Amino acid sequence: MTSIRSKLIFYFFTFILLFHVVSISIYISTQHFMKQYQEGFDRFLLLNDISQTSFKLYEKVNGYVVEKNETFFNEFHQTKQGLISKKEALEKVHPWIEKEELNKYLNMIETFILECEMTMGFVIRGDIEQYTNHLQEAKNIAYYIQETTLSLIDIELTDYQSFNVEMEERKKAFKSFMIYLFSTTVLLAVFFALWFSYGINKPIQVLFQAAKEVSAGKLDGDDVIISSNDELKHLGQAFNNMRQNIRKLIEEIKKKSELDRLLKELELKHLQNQINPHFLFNTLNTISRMAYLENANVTSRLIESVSSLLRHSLRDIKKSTTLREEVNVVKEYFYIQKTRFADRISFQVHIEKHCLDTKIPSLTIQPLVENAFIHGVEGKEEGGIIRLSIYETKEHVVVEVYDNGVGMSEVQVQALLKEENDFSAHTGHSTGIGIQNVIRRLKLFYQTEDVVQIFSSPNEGTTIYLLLPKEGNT
Amino acid sequence: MNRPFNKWLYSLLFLLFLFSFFNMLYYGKKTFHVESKTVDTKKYQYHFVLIPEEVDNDYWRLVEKGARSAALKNDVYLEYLGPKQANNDEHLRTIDQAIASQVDGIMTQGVTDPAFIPLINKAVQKGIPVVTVDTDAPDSDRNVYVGTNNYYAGFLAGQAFIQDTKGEQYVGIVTGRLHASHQKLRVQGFKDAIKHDKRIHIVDIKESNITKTGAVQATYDLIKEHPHITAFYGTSALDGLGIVEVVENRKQDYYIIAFDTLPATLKYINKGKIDATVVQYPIRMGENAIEALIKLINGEKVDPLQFTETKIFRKEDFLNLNTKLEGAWR
Repeated sequence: MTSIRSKLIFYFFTFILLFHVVSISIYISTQHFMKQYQEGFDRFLLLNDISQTSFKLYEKVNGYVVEKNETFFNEFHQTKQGLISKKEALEKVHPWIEKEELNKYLNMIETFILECEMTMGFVIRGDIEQYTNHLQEAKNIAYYIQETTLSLIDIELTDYQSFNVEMEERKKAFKSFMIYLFSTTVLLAVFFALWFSYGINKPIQVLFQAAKEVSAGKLDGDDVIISSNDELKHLGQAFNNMRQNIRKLIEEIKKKSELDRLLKELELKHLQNQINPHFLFNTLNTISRMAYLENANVTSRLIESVSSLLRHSLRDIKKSTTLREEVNVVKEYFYIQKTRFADRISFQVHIEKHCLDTKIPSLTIQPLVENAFIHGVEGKEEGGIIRLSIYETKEHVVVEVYDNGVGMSEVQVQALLKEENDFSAHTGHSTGIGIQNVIRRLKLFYQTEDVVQIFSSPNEGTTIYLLLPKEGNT
Repeated sequence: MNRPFNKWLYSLLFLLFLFSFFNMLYYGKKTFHVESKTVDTKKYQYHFVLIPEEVDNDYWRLVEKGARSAALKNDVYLEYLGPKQANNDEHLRTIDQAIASQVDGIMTQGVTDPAFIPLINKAVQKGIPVVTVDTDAPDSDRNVYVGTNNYYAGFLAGQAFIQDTKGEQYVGIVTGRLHASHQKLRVQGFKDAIKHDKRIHIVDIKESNITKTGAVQATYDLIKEHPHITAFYGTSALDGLGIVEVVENRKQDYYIIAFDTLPATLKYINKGKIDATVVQYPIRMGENAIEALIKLINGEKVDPLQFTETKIFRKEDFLNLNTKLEGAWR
């Protein structure tokens, strides 16, 4: 991953490299020209020195010829050595002219030294004719050396001229170079800046738009996609995750608040009924005891059933209860209805006892049974059956409520399950709780949609299955 | 933001960037590129000097050209040195310098000067072979002479003169230098050629100092002193031109025979102002001189007199100009 930092480092290094290349180039070329200049100047000095030393040598020879003095002789040898060493130095100098030209000059010096030596030799021997000849020769050659030196220096100067012209050209080229270097770096900097700011700005714009949507409450926008391969990409991913989490949380909150609303609704109904029921409950108890005291046992038992039904319906609806209690309420209800309808309707109960500890929201089974009674079998002249069965399967505790009443069409069943009807408009129920309320509460309580199954067809009866997940299985 | 506009702007900026970038590279190279100066390190076998009478002389430049081409073939480092203008002292000094710098061979024009012969002898004594070119110094120890047989050239001129003229002829001779041996030979050859023809008379000889103004002066003097002159003979290259300049505007038609084939001379021949000229082949002289020196150094036997060709060139020869003047002075 290239981070913004590494981008910046790359950016700076590009420029640093560029400027270093330039400065190193300047250094190298300057060094080269300085060297060339120095060499040329050294050659100047050497050539000049040779020319002067030659004359000095000639003077020594001449002095010796005239005065025949030992000091001149010694000085001659010294000067000669000096000239030889300078000649050797010139030989070693980097060739700047044709080798042949230089050789010519060196040979001339050699001949000159030879002539000088010959003169000295003949002076010592006293051969006047010979030494004057050689002295003249030496003098001539000294002049030739001077001339050649001058012409060599002239060549050097001509070289200098071209050197100078070249330097002038380089100076001009350098100026153009600086101008183009300037514009190149400026443009490069502009490109870097554009690239860099685009790389930062675009993702920020995308994020900004998305954040605006979120703050406006729109949580279901597309994921933010950031193509740049740096920190901003991670920022975008983090933003996407956050938005998804918020979306989930809000959904959960919505569900919870709906459950709360349903419960509050029931509570309200309870409250509406609370004044009378408490009084009624006490009164019923009194009546029951009075009936018992007056030996009207059946009446007493009936009132007891009504009383316990009433008590159960006054329970706190938010609290869950066990299947056992729910079944007891159903039994009380059955007792009351048996008394009322005698043989017209038969109430059957099949229960596997060990299932009775299963937890269930209160006021669930009784409304289903009552529903089966009201909508199923109430209208039947005889042979009506309502059966409550509780048994265990592999995964569930099944509560089955069967009636053989009028039944429902498939459309009605689906409407029930999808909770399309206005469930508050139920009347005739003893607890005032309709089937749809029960279904909703069961779904919310067990957090699954598959808790209720209804099988029914017109005139064939209805079976409602509650598939309660076994504890530990949810 | 306007997208297409941005696109244009970016491509423009990018082109500008490329432009400055490549210019930067180009000028950077121009500024910083350092070529290590390479002096021609060609190895030469010999170092010869060619010393003409005058450096900036077209005739000698041709000798140099011939010598250079031969030098190139034989690995010879050739120096072309001498006085800027004809000057005996400088000429001698140049030879002396060459001797002092121990060159491998000397080619020079023979000079009529008492110091010349001892100088040549000194060189030969020191083991430096000497070839005289164009003008000989037969009394010196010079090893070889390469050049025109000047006597023969003069003789050819004389023969051409006899052939081309009729009736009594009074000839005025303009010569480069009265005491230069090659000039003397050209005059002598001419004289010998016309010796037996009674109708041709030589009235006078004047010196031009191998300059055109000198030739003009000499011609003028000749006409003034000898008004009956009918013909001119110029023995050095510029003499013919000087003669034409004086004679051109006169009514009388003179017969003019000149030396060498300068472009101006050829032009005058074409126009009919100059009647004939003696053709020399200086390029061959240069070539032959180099070859002779190499042979001398290698100890081979060399003919001491190596004459190059001489021919007479007239107007009608323009028809086969190239064959006639190949290797000649053009």
